[in-house]
Amino acid sequence: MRKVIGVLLIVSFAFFVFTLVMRDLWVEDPTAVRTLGQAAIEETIPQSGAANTVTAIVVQFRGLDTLGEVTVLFLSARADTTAQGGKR
Amino acid sequence: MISISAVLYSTSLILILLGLYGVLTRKNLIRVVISLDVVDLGVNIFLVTIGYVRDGRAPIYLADAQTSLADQASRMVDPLPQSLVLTAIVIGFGVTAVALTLLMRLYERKGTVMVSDLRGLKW
Repeated sequence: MRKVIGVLLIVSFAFFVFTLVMRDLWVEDPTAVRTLGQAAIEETIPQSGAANTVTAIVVQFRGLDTLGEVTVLFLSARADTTAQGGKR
Repeated sequence: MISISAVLYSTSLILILLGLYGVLTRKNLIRVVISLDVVDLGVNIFLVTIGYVRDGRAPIYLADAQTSLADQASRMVDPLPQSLVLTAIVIGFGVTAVALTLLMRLYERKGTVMVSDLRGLKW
């Protein structure tokens, strides 16, 4: 019974993705709509001097976001040690 | 000829559906956490595939003299989803670690990780 309900739910989810989400998300030429990514590619060498665009985005264009990511990582490590009651 | 992005889109959708099915039907909470990780992987593959362009190269500038920088930039895939996924992988790791720690505490207190044996929230 539970498996039947699970199959029904994921089939309806797949139907939802195919009919609503992918139909609107699909574009023939992705380079025409990626304005922010194109700006990041073009500004990599002039503004950051890095050769790798992804690292330029992660540590320079969006450095504050990476700071928040590291905060979340250390917070989860702290939560783990707290939840284990100080056992090491 | 099946395009690479079609294969990757279907792979990510299959992984998301498998993970959702696992979350919905498994009784062992460790398997539920693993299913959540499978969903996470599927979403990450989906996001990277959104940024793919046909015959695209990795968004890294090369120092060779044959191709100019502008020519290299015109064939690069979208770097924005890649850096987003790089962040999402780390956050997913943190989420999994906290979930497994909570599960460990649950096992210490209740002696089981099966949802069907946990009566605390039922009435």
